[in-house]
Amino acid sequence: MSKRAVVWSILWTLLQLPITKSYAQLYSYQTKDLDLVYFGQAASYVVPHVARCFENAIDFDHHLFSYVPNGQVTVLLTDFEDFGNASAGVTPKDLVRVGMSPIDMVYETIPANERINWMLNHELVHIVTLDKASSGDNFFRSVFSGKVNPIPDNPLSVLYGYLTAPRNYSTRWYREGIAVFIETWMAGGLGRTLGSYDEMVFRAMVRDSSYFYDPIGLESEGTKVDFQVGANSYLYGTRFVTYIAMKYGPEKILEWITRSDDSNAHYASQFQHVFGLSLQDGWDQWVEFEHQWQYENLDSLRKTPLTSYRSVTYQTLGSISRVFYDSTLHSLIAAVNYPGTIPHIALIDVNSGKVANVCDVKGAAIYDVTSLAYDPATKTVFFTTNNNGLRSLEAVNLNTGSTEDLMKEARIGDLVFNKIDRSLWGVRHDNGFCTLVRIPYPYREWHTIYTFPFGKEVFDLDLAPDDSAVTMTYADERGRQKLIQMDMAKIANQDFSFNMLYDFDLSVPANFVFSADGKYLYGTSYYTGVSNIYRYDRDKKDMDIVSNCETGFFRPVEYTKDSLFVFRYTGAGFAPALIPIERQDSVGAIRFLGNEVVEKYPIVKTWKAGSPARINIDSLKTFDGEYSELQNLSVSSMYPIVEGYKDFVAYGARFNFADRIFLDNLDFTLAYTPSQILKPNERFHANAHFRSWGWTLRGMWNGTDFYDLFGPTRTSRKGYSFGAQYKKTIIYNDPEILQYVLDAVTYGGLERLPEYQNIATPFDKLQTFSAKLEYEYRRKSLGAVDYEQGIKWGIISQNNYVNTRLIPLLYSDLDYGIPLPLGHSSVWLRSSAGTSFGDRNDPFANFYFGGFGNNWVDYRNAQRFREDYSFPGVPLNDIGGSNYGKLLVEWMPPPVRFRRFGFSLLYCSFLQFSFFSGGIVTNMDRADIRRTPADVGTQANFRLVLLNTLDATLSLGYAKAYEQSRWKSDEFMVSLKIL
Amino acid sequence: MVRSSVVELMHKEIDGTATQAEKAELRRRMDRSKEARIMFEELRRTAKLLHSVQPQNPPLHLQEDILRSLQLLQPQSKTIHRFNNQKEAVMATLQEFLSGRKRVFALGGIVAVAVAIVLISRVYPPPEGDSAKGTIGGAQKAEKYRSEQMSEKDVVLSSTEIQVLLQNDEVQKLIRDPEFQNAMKSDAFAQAMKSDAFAQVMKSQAFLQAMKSDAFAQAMKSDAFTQAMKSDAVAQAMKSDALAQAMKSQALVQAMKSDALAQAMKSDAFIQAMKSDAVAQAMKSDALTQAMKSDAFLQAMKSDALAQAMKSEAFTQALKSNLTQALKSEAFAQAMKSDAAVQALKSEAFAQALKSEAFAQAMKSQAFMQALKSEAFAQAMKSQALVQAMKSDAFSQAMKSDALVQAMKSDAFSQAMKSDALAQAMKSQALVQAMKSDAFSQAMKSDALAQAMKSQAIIQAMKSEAFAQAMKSDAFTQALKSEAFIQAMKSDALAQAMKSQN
Repeated sequence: MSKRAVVWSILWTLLQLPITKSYAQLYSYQTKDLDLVYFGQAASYVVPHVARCFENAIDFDHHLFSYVPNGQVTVLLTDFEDFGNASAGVTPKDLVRVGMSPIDMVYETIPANERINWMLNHELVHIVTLDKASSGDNFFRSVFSGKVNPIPDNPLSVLYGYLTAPRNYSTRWYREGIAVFIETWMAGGLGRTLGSYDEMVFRAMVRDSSYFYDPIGLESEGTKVDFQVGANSYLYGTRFVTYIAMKYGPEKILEWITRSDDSNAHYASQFQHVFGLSLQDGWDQWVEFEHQWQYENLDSLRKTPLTSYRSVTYQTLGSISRVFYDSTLHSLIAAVNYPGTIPHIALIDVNSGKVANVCDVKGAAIYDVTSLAYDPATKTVFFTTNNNGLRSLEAVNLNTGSTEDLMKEARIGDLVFNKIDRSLWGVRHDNGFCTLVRIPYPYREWHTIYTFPFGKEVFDLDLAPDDSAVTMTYADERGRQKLIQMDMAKIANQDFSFNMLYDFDLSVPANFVFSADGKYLYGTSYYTGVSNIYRYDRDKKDMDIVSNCETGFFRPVEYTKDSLFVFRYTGAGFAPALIPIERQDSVGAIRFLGNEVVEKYPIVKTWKAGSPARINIDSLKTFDGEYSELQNLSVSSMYPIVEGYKDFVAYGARFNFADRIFLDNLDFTLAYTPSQILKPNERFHANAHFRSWGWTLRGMWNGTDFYDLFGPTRTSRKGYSFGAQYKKTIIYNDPEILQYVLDAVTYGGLERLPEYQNIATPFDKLQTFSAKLEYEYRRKSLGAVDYEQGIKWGIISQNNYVNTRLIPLLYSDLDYGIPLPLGHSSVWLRSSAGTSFGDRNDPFANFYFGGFGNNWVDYRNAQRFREDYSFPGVPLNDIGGSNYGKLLVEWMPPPVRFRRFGFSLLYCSFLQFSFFSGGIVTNMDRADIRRTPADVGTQANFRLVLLNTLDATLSLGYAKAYEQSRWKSDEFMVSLKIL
Repeated sequence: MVRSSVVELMHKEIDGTATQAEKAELRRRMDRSKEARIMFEELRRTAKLLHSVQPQNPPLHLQEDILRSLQLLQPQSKTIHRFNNQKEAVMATLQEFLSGRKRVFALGGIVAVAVAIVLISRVYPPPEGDSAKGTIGGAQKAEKYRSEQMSEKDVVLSSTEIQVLLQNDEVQKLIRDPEFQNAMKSDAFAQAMKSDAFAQVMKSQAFLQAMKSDAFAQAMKSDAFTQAMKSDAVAQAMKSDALAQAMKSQALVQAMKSDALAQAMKSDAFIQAMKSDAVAQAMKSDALTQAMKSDAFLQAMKSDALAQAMKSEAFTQALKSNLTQALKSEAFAQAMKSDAAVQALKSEAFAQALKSEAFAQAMKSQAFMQALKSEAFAQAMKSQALVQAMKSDAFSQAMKSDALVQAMKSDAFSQAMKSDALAQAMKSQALVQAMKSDAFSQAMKSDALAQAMKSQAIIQAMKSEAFAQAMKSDAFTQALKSEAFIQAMKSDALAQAMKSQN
């Protein structure tokens, strides 16, 4: 094939790609302090409101913290998931992402008023906390032309990052605790500082004598192994900050978190500076206080008789979905998610307590796992997948176990089954709206019933047994919650008015379901501060409380006319129990820690943000039009670097550019090696990368690498290269991903093969074109440190064009893992095979294997022994062949978690072992040059946490290679992976 | 045997504490059970008897019995213990009073206290105005600080009506339809999409439907009547043999008796109109007779344009339809008062339109008639923009389209005409421009639009402020001129979408 033909065919292929903008159009709405970027015009209706909420919050922050943003804060408004969420970051630029969907108020974990207002109030506190700078911080920001984002490519960026934004290196509990505390008062007391769920968590911990994590243990283990995982950062953080505010005053909190010239850079040392005691001592005081506080609450609850219960299972089940009871199966049906097990639909035998796995749930959500509905006639369970993204609808038959995909990305949840016509009803979230929908059998399409106005959210649907009515919880902008009912007869006449059955004020009426005879509705509410069971009498139109619980009862489902199944909250999650239905004459209320703050320090009442409607946004608007990534590309930071080139040290600088939402990124480094040993044409170095959407363009001139300073793996190369890569995701159905990657690179001035440092090249020019198709569907349970089951495969076509010859290589990888009953333990088979179609004697037509592949200091995958090119126990690139087959068996035992191993600036979170053994055969078609070595080895990985937020891995490995009936060589590996 | 639950209802009814639902339930039970009725009567007599009993001095041994029983109570909690202490204190006081000379006053005091307790317990704490919230049985409500929260008025949005429409499953199917997507990707459309108002509206089928709605066209016609009535033609018509013949009809005789007609006949235009054969024929119809009794119609009769119009066969036919009702309407009368209407009626385009079969058909439709009666129509008729539009060839062409006729027959059209948004939109220059375009003319002919006008979802959207705003935008005008728009109007997918039940 001629060179010209090759080039044209490559170009033609590239031109077929969606180079032109088929992506959603981006728009920008700006004020002096805000750049609100959003996708498509569909979101434009809410843009002014988002802008008002931002300006309202930033105005509040200006008054409370004396904070003025340095430039615009970017708010990226998206609709990428069915439940609203938000996040904030300050490096390299201030960016807040807001998901506009209705929020998930399950178990009242998030009490809030209008969600856009709430999210911006919360996230902008993060911005203030992390971005507000002292004059010293500002000095370094001017030196480095911005705030430096720590990147793996160059670990010196960690230091620069600390100099420019030190509060960015703070624990998650600190950030979230502060934000929740402030946001609660901004909303006039509606927030998790006065949250019933928060009180319940710590009440249950004290009651059950559960372990209270310290600040290090919380981040090391507490946010990883508990069924609430990351939510523990919010819970502990809010609680600790509230206690400190109650004891020392909320203004002291402001002093702690506000960065100023006389403040300490690190949040922990600033705590000591403000409160006169160490963070650990303050934390210990809080734990002691919390026990006393909760003992008093428990005593108060125990003054009236508590509801007795009978446990159904011996184990707790973590997070729990809506529950159904099938009397013919004597079982409860629910989705569960607890540490050590993949989230799944479970069949819980109420007699034996055994929990059977029906099928896995892909993309399970925290707390409510999935949306579940049940058809008892056909024993079909309907459930949603990808619950943290755009929900899809699936079904599983309890009799056969077979699953069926029904509707992809339907965005529908809160499912309920209509036994009369076999339809499903649900609530659809799309573009910020809640829509009541009906899904007729066979469940391939949905029909709109009614779209609620923006700001009104509905959830927890149920249908009357006679199909006469549908009930649901209705929340409005004020945070008020009502139990409402819509009549089916009215709906049929296009009348979507509803009757309010009960107004629970700010307590969420949750999980209300009909009794079998339709006379009652059973549900829960934190009306007394504790989640108890309530019964609504439809005839009398009256609400009664029918339980008195110490921790909390949830998800009631009728068992008999005088008993209910409920799920009882424990420190390890929810556990099924059976309780009698008894109207309670007297149930006491608990006290809220947040109330103590406001009673003792009424100044927090003045921390109210007020209404965003008061903002005249039209007068503040400076721009309203299309957003262009390229036009918004600007410097984000620049800093000096030190890198390795062969055996030499190069000195230079790195320049980073990005647009406001980091869709386009440009970075380049310029360096110089002063050594006279090097030829003059090798002393100058340059690297450049440009990323935009799925494209990456890169260029290199005598490329350098920081990690080449340490070795033994070296990626720096003499010569030049220019390359382009395109990556596109075909399937993204978390955790299932299918994608392809196309890559084309041209090299010149080569000495060695670009991928194999020990292989010299006879020619100095090379063009490669590769195409890779990759698929993975790997799962891990709560508390896992690595994937525990699943499959991953890839097919790669790599084509080398050198010296007028085209040399294709084709290889494939396949990994398959199965979990072991040990809990967080699994066995994996990792295979690879390939062949080339060139001359065996040509180095470009060979595959090379050898070594662990880790550098002494590294940034790539710590477990490189799993890669197709590695073979621990033999030197790097020692084994070569024009074709090969390789198999590795790996066993991962349960990791060892550390509650406290280190100190705040550096601690070890866990230790993970791998034991492996593998074999390879090369040149399968040539017995005379065939090689068949085998190896056995182990690797231990210590996960370290540096400066509270930066992950590092210290790896120790050892392997021995066996070939031709003798142990041939061994290898010892030590590697520190930074970031 | 009467169930205990029913007996409980009886007691509540007698005590006056039964809710309406409970009363109804009791009545239902008693209707079915004689035994229950008998028991209820007995209970009521008993209660009445008890109420007639006067309070008596308690025997001395009673206070001793009470004190003894108090001493036997074991406190189970701090709350109960306090209550027992209070009871003991009350009883001790009671004993003191009962044993002394102040017995009468004591009893009176006790009764007064009892009454006060009963009253206070019924009215305090004051109800929050909503019986379905507040206390729940024995549950103590947790105390939490909270201040005034933001409310619906604090959330200020724009064009949510269109967004709500986009949640409709049929609309979503349309948006995903490849043919519709292709039309939307054209350069003309891209230009139009630069305007926010247009961008919003173009996603809305309601907008597309409203643009083609007969409501616009029909509204314009009413001006023509006004103009016609002012013409000399009518005056001349009065001299015609045709009129003379018509005058022989009983219907006309009746009409002539009305004062309103007498006034109208003083106008030249009316006279001219009366000269035409068409008018003569029309004059024989009951429909016209009825119309002539209305002030609205007679006002309209004063216009020249109407006079001309009345000469046409189409008009004659129209008069045989339900036009009468429309002519009687206040809205029509109001419309006829506007200068704009007068101007419109003078237009050649209008005259041509009146001659068209389509117009004749339209005049027969209930929907059209309803529209003519609407306030929105009246408002629309006052707009200069509308007048201008009515003079356009595009309007004339549009009036000839079958699709338009079909649309005009729909209830949806009638509804649309009632909307303020539409009225506002019809005042816009943008609309005027749009209606002059070929694209508009083409669009008005499409079946898809006709189908769409039958859609409730579209009608709702047309009532929206957002729609009105959109109609005023230049971008909208541009879009109407685009080929892409025309194609979209012709698409089956659009038609399907417009059939949405919602």
